[in-house]
Formats: sequence, C-alpha cells, structure tokens
Amino acid sequence: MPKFNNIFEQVVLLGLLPILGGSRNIQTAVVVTVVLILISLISRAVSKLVNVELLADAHWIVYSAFGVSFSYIAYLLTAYLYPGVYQHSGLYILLIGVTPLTYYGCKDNVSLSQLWKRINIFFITIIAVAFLRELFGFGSILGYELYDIGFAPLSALGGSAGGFIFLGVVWILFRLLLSLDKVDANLFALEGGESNE
Amino acid sequence: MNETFGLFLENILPVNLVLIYSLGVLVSLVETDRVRPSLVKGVKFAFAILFAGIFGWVIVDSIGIEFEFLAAWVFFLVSLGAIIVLQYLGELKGDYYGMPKLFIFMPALLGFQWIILERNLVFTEMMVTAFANAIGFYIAFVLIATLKEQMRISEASDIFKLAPAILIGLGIAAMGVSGFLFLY
Repeated sequence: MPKFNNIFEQVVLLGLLPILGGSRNIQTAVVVTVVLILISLISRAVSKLVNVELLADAHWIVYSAFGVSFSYIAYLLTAYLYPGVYQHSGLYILLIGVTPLTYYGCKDNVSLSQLWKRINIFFITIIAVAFLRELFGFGSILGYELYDIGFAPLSALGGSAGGFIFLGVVWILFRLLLSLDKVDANLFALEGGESNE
Repeated sequence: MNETFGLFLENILPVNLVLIYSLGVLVSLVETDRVRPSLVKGVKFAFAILFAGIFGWVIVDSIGIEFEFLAAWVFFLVSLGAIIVLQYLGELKGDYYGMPKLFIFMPALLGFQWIILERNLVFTEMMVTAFANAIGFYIAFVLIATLKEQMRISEASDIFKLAPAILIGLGIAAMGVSGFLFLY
C-alpha cells in the first residue's frame, strides 16, 4: 500500500509503544511527549559529538545507551513529580530510551525541522488517543469527572484495549481523510528513500 | 488450582506481554509476513524473550539490592546481547522507516525484564513467568501473522488493511483475555 507510506504512519509505527502505553490520560500523554522531546534533543546533541565513521554501525548503541540513561532519570523524576503518571505508565517513560522515534533526529540527513514535524504529529496523535481513552474509559477529561453518579464508564477502554482500538480508529480516520484528499498528501510525504518495505 | 500453574496460565494470556503491556506489538507488526515463516521466526523471538528475561533477572539478583539502580543498564546490555544473537540468526537486519531494526525489538526485551524485576519474584516464579510470557508472545506473534495474511488477500479497502485494523483486532482480543482474569 504505497499511498499510505507517509510520515504519519512512520511516526505512529516508530513511536507505537509510547503512544499505546502513554495515552492512558491527557496528563500522561503530555508527560510522555515532554520526555520524548527532551531525550530526542539530548540524543541529537550526543550524535553531533560522536564520530560515526569510527564506530561504524555501533553508533546507534552509543546513542541508545545515553538515551536509556536519560530515560531512567526521567523515570525517577516522574516517580517524584507525578506519582499518578508513574504508577500506571512509568514503564513506558523508561522505554522512551529505546523507542525508535526518539533517535530519528540522530540521523545525519535529518534536520531539526523534520524532527520537529514528527514530534508534532506524535503529540497530536497521542493527545487524540489519550482524550478518547480518558473520556470513554474513565469518564473524565484532565481529571474532571463528566459522568453523573450511577453511570459507569467503559472501563475496558481505559486499559491497553482502549489504546489499541482508539489508535486504530484515529489511524483509519487519517487514511480516510488522505484518500478523500481532505489532507494535503505532500505535507506528509516521506523524505528520501525511507519506507516500511 | 496450583499457585504456580495459575501464575503460568495468567502470564500466557491475561497479562500477556503483547496484549496487555503492548510491548511486543511493534516487533510482531514489523517482523511477521506470512503465517508459515512466522511460525519459525516467532520461536526465535520467543526464545530471545525467555533468555533475556532469565539472564536479566539472574544478573540483577546477583549484584544485590544496593546496586539495583544499575538494573536499567544491565537490562539494556542483556537486550543488546539477545538482539546480536538474533542478528546472527538472520533476523532484525536492515532498516525500518529509516531506523535500524534493533530498535524494533529492544523495547519488548527491556520492558519485559523490567516487569519481572518490579514483581519481586522468587526464582521459580520468575522462570514460570518468563516461560509463560514467551509462549504468550509466540501465540500473539502467530496471531498477528495470521491477521496480516488474511488482510492481504481480503477485498476490503486499503484504508482498513494491515496495521490499524490489526490494532483494533488486538484491542478486542485484549478485552477478551482480560475478561478471564477473574479465573486466577
């Protein structure tokens, strides 16, 4: 399906784990995105200091070793600053250090604007999924209860099942808009020879 | 029901690595193609999960609680070792959307070891958990390969094919298996 080989699909697939695990509610989604941005930028800075030719393909291991170290610090900081986020999604904050999307900006031919574009798509996607999960799964938005007493939310959708289903729905909606030409396909065109083949 | 057997059954499906923690979803989406090759491929990945889980736990347990802060780096190195073995066996080679495939499987391995550590298991429980999760991962891996193969030959619109539809299918499966949690 070459027509669906675009930046949105790239971002969702490379950032699949933080989107699924970090979309429990909007607060968690924001924390996960902030951690991803920070570690992406730190890794990008590290990549500028590393001699890629000297390390051959091992440079990715060096980047990810730094990434895991910083994501571990973020994991501990989250436990201190946001215990609620840590309790349910702490693992996914640690795993940002080994998420492929985090290291996209470390590639030689990727500019900061290209990285920023992907982070924006990641943020919009995770917020959309988190909004739907929190609304349907927990009956609240940003912690404010919306359901009257006696009405139970669809709690199954608050768990991982909700993450899978709502991400799938958002993804299909995007493809639908793309196929109906409601979205500018050029805006989401992949640069270079990147593909999922 | 025997407690250990209950733990084993629980870790195969209701707290499955792929369905409940979403850890193995990406590698299953990327590395599966048709069902037949995936039957063999899945075994390699499941063994990688099994051995990474065991080695990671044993190393962290042997370094003592005062050095437990090193666990993330130990798990990272163990995961890297498992990926190097898989690459030696011909898996995880090349790029995916411009990123090396080692990142595709790394979250599953590191996350699984971390989950085992957080549960504070004794050796027997850890072995049962690692073994059951490897089986659970294999089942989900083959399930995703089956879904992909069926979707490729289906006459549905391209919009609904592959990854998004698989995610919705996994969501429904996750709701199904979590419904059995009351049994354990």
